[in-house]
Amino acid sequence: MKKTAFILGVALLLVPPGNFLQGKAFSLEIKGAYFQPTENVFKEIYGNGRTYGVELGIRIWDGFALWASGDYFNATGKLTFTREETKIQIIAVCGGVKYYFLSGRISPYVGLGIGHFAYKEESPIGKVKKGNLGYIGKAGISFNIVSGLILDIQVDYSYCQVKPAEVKANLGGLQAGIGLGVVF
Amino acid sequence: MQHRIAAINNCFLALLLAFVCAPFALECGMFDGVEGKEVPWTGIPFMRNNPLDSKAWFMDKATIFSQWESLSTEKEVNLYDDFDGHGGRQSDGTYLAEKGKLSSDMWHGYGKIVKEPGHQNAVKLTISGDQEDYNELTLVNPQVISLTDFRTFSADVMLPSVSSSKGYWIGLIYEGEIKILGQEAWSPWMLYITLGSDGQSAAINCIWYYQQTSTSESFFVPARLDTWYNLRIDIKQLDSKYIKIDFLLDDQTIYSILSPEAAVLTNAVNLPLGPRRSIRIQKEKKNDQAIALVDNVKAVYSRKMPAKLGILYDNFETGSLNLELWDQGSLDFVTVAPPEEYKIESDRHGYVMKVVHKEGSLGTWRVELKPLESVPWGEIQRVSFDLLLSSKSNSDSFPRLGLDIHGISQYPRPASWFTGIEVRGGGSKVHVGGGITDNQSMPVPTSSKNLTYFRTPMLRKIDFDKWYNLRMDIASNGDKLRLDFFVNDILLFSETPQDHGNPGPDLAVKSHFAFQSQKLNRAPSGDMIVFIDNVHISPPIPLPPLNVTGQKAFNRSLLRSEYLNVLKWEANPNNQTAVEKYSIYQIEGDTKNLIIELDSNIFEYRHHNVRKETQYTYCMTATNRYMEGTPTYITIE
Repeated sequence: MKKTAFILGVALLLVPPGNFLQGKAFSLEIKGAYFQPTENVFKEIYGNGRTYGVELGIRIWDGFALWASGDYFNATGKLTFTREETKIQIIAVCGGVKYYFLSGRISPYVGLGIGHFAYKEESPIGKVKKGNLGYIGKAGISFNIVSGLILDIQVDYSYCQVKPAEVKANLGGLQAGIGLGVVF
Repeated sequence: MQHRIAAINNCFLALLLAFVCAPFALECGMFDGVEGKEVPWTGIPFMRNNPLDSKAWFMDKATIFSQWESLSTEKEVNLYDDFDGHGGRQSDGTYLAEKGKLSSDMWHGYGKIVKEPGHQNAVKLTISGDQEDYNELTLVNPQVISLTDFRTFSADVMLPSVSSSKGYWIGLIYEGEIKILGQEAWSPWMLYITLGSDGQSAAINCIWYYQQTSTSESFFVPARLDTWYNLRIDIKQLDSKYIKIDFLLDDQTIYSILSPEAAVLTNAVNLPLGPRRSIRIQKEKKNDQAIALVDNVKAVYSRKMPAKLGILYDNFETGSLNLELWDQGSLDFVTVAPPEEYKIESDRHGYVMKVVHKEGSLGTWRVELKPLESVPWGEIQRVSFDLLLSSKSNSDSFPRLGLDIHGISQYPRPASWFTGIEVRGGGSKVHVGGGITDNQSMPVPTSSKNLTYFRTPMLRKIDFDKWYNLRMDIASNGDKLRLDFFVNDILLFSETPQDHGNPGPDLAVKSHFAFQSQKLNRAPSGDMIVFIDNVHISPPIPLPPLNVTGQKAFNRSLLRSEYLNVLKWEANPNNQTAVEKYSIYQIEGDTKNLIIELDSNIFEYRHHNVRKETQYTYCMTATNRYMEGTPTYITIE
């Protein structure tokens, strides 16, 4: 999987930049994704889950664009020993830059960014509500379905190490999803 | 018994082997013995002068129990006998021990007092004849007590070389048989420390044997004939799992055992007959004679049983009968006016009840304790009172007088019955005894649960002007019932009247308690004067839960974590009365803090947010509708 992603990435870098986003300045899309946490204990307690979000893109120069997104994740799980219920919510507000390799009907891209991960967890052990800075990298392919409408398939990888109380945890993980948006 | 003797024989064979393997004799700290001396009495042989005010009868239970807790819990009783008249002193200043005698208040069994240089009086134990056999002296034994209630047992012993036996020993013995619920067989266990000889040399032998787990340990130290040694066994419960047993020779520990049997051996329910403490001489060869000397016996044990008893209790310290407690309305006099029959007087024990049965009176005199509210037969555990027969009595015929439990059985048809412990006699011969009987005036039912008449004969002669504690303990398990009758903690006899007088748990029974002085055949020729004190009726103490286990666990969410101690337990099926709740305390130093009370259908508790590196000790109790029970302890590292 990693090897395939690497080959795809290198190939995309070799493609000259084009007229991306159908020549429009802005894009706005809603997206849903499947989230797989990096940390095993995250998986043990909450498992994998779905995220939902919106993403805004602004063309700045040639193949480059700024992006900003908001993603929401919530899950209910069980404590490791007592198996009592615990709930978590993560809201990640991120921003960064993207580079589109091609224009036309298919526009692959890569991007980097930073974000603020606001999180809240409630369990019998206690309640935590805090926020920390994290990092995000993404790659995807934007399809022009019809004029002004795009379908975005993207994979994100995020990293956000936190320690609000007794234990450290990484809130990030791999996220694969699909978005539907407009360009204008 | 055969298992035990076989085990000891095996151990003795090992002892003889040890002689062969140890040709040199070690110096073992020879002990020349000391003259007998008085050892301070640290306990109370039976409850007297209890400062609980009789007004406490209707105090809230927590107050009563807290007072009893401070008064009676874990009293260490120090039985001591040097056979020179010291030891076994009572709280009233009298002694159980008798100079130059084996006091029947302290000892049962065989032994002869002899003069011994440096020891004044010592006990000579002899065994001879053409059989392998043993003789032993047994200490008075509290019943319903667990192994670890015993603290220490020691004695000076010596094997004189005049014995002709080629294989014999004298030893201090703890032994008992465990009846584990659900198992048919009784499983014997024993703790011995012995001084043995093959006729030429001697050795100290320490033995721990427990059949249930096939545990058998033994250890030898060479010794000498004609030398006094102090042998001692100390027992200490370390936690809910382990018991530490130390064998000491002249106050030096020579061998220790860590037994993981605490859960079984500390549960008094498993030891319905109680462990026995005895000093035994045993020979392994035929046609010879073995002799051993014993002196300065000391036995310390923790007397738990009086603790937390006393739902019904009166020591008359208000100077009158508490009318909330006593029912005078049921007096049934024939010839004597009630006010002359009894009164509360002050003597050196404080206030006591004086009962006078007048010359020439004929009939039944009775003063009743008011019945406990809806207490069924199976829930009464103990009836106890102190009694003194005055030598100023000039009656040649004492009517029966005692504390009885009366009941009415409704099944299969109405019948009345009573059981109790009492005195009877006349002139200079008065006895104590007890038993259970139906009321013969009632129709006798025909079912298998007939209440047929029987009565145990009077068994023990008692003296005038001496206080005695008369006690009846009742243990029932389903249809089975056992009555134990005691005088001054000495078991007189036991009854198991399943087929005779046990009304059975399915019968509707209403119990009440009464002193009654009943004319049997003829009116006494003189007055009968009796003093009564410390009347005491107790419902059952809840037994602690079984198989209490604990573990420290790590628990976390994604962002928070904690360590917690998880306690688990099982209900004790031997509780005769339903458990209403479990209480869990945390022991910190000398303080006991209640953490939580849980319903009786809960068998797990999680103590959250404990510290990883800290050792926690918990105490668990069960509570029935009368009282909180005896605790069990567990430590989690």
